[in-house]
Amino acid sequence: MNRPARALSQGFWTCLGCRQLVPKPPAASCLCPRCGARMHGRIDGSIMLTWALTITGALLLIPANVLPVMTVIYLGSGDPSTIVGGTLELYHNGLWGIALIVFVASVAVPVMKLVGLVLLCLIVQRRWDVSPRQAMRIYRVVNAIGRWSLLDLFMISILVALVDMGAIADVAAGAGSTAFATVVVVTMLAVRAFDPRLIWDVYEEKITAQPGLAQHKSHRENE
Amino acid sequence: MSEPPLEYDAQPEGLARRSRGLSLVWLLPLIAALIAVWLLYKDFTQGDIRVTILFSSGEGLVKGKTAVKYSGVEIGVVNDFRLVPNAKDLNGQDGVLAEVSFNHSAGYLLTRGSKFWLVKPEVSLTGVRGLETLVSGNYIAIEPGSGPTQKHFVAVPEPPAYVRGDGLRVTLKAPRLASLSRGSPVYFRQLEVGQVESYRLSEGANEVEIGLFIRREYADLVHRGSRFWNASGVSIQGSISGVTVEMESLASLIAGGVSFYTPDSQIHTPKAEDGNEFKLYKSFADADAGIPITLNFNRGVSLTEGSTQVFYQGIRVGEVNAVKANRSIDGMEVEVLMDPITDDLLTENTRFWLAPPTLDFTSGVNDLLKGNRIEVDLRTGNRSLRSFDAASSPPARDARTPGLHLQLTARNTGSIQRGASVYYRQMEVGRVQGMELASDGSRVIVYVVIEPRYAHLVDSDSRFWNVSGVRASASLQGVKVETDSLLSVVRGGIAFGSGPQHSKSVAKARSGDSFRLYSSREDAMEEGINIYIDLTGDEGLKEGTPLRYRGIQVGEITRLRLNYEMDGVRARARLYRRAERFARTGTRLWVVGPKIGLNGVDNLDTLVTGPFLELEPGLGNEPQTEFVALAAKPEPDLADTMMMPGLALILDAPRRGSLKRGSPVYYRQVKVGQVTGYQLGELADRVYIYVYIEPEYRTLVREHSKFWNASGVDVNFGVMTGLDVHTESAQALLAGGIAFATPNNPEMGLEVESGSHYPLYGKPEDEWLLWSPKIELYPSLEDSFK
Repeated sequence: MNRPARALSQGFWTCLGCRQLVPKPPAASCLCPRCGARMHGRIDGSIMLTWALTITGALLLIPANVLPVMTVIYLGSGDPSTIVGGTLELYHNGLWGIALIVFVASVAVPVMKLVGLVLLCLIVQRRWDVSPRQAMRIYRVVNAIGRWSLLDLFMISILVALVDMGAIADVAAGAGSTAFATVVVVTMLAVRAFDPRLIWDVYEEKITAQPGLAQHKSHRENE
Repeated sequence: MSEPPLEYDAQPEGLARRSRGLSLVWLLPLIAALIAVWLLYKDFTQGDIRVTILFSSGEGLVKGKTAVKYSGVEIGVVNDFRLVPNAKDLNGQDGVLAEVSFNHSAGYLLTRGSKFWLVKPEVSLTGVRGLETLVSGNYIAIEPGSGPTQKHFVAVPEPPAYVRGDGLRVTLKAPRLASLSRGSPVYFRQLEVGQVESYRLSEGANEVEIGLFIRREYADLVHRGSRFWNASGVSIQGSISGVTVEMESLASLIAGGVSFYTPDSQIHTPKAEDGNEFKLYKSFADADAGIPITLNFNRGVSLTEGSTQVFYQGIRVGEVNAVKANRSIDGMEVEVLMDPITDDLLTENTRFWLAPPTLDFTSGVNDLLKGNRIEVDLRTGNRSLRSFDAASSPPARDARTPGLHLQLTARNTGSIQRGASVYYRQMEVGRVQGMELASDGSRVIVYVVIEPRYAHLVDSDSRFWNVSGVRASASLQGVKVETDSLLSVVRGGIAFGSGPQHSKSVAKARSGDSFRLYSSREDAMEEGINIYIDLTGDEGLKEGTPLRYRGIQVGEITRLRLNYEMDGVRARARLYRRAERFARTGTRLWVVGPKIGLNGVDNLDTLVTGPFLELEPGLGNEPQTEFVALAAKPEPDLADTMMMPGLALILDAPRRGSLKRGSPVYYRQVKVGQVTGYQLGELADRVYIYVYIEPEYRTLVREHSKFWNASGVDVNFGVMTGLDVHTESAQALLAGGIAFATPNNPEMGLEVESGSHYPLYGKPEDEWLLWSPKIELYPSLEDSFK
């Protein structure tokens, strides 16, 4: 057996705040004796929480794209624009570079995040035969790109604050931006709710069931 | 909470807590789902309605921008266009089909009979419309119809008349449409009670049928016997202070309108009903809707029936209907039809008079020459009259006109006539009301009214002058033609202003004050004192020739006469007020004319403007008004030069040579002074030449300085040296000059005082030209005034 030892199987919990190892208490959760953070062997109902938040995000993506994110009032006439509409307008105006950035930040990233979260949940729950390293890669990417969607909201909030010239030009944030902000926040929470250690739990389970497979796999991965 | 022991060999125990259920988390997706479902539902049920509108031209429509507005609210937007060739809705013309997406809420407007038209900014005589589109862009307006729902419409080319609500609709028949248009107002006693709704050619095309809409609340005013005529929107209102004329708007004045009136005889006819037809008359007189009045003239006047008109302040308010001699055959009885709007103003205070033909620019070229006309001054009063005594000439004045009433007395009035303007700083502030000969016939009295708001401009110090005609003056700088206004050239005018020594404390003028009317501004503003100048000839001087001091005009010649002995000219000149101190002893005058000589050209501008009189103030204190002009500019006399801060020297020369007053004095070919005069010595054995050295150069002259005559040319010729021509300057060559040199230090000697004598040599010795002493210029001020 050349598998690394795991805290849980040794009767320890890890504190997610300060990485303190604590002997497994009798209850389902406890407070870290060092930093006082709540500790779990595994995050309580991690998969369920992730599912809930992911579905919320996916549903909120609808109003975020249907409702206008901001209304640019120029010379008295308003022009509400949705995310996709604004991106298309930028593209038609030849600003395809900016259009690409806006598209990536406000369409691709949230969708990618949601897809990634769904995949992770399915891998853990359905015991999909995906190498745990691939799953971890998905998790890291989803975790890393999480905050980049806030780019749009920064832009909108700056425009709303700066462009206020009465009837000549004005920018007002739309309800879509609230929905969009909620999507971003909810997906970030979903990523936090997902406990990546579950991936390894699943892997451990599989190896215990089929040692040969584990031998073969760990060999291949060690290369 | 108890502190756990921080020892690494003993693993600390976690603190146990009971976990809670997590089912609340699922509220979040539930809420999100509700929001999403609601939005989708809304989008699905309240989505846009697609409608097509056919325009004859796509001009002014912008894809995705042009909105459809109803009552100012945006209810849709143009999504796309499509060209429709040979649209049958447009009689086979090519059209533009606009696809418009409407708000769901505006669906009820999309019915048969709804009218769409494009609103563009439009500035026309009848008004400014759609100005907001300048900022917000064109939009499509809609007037809803009533009927079943419809998805395809044809736009109307222009907005339908703005007629809303219930009312009476009658038809007028007229031979011509004249200036009426859709939306033109319908007046009853100047009150807008309706508008022109439509017009079309009648069957047979020999008449125009004009549809009128009268609002319900005024429908009772229209009787079967009412008369309609073409009218403009002028209203006249009387009050105690006078009468004001108000135009409804320039637009209604030009675009016209319809007035109606029910003559007393027709007041009992039944009320009009929808569809009744009336004749549209050209004017109230044609409509026989005027108020008949009688004017009694006490002598025969030239009036034409049907053509002579009655004006009130330029507005036509009546027309002569019939003219006949009165019973005693010593006057005329004129029947006039007055516009019904004057009804309340035909009172015992109203005056009629016959106005002579006038040349009038104010009312346009068409009316330049008007024939006889009757003018009326409408006044409110207690008693309504229908018969008036009319005057055959305009009243000289009317004290009832509001404003400041003044009398100006003039020897003659030039082209001033009744109605001429009174100007203050070229702004019209009043009018000439009339003119009258003074009782003794010596003067003309001009009655002037200043508008009340300008009355404060006139005070007892004001001066009035005639501004009729044109003034011109020419100089090298150009020709200046001045007139107060073109109108004043023809109609005459009066201007007023304050005299030069105007003070604010002067009492304001009051009505009835009398002023003199001067013939020109110069006369009015005349100030200063007269002086008399004796000249040998006129020297090219004229009346108006300026008197100048240092280039500034301080007076002018007002009269030139031969003197009593007939051997000279005597000029009277006026010194302006600020220049009065020139009229004292010691002042000298001379004529400055163009001078062309070896020294250059002087006063060339006087070739064009003519010579002028230059004067130099005297030092005396006694007043003096009699002067004798000098022949030329006086030179400073010798005694004066001795007093001057520079150095005055006397050079002893055997002959004068070509030296004269003004000849230059050179030091190293730099001019440092000049010859101020010469005279024979006491024994006539020599000539004294007086030289003045400028103060800053006086240190150059020392005891042993040598002076020589630098006039002419010094030519040296030698076999070895060649030809050497030498002169101090080209001017010295012709006009003569003096040069001097000072020996090197320390042989030069001391500085000298004014009055020192030096010999003047005929030519320099070679050695003198080589001297180069170092002398400090610009000595201290104390030294230079020694």
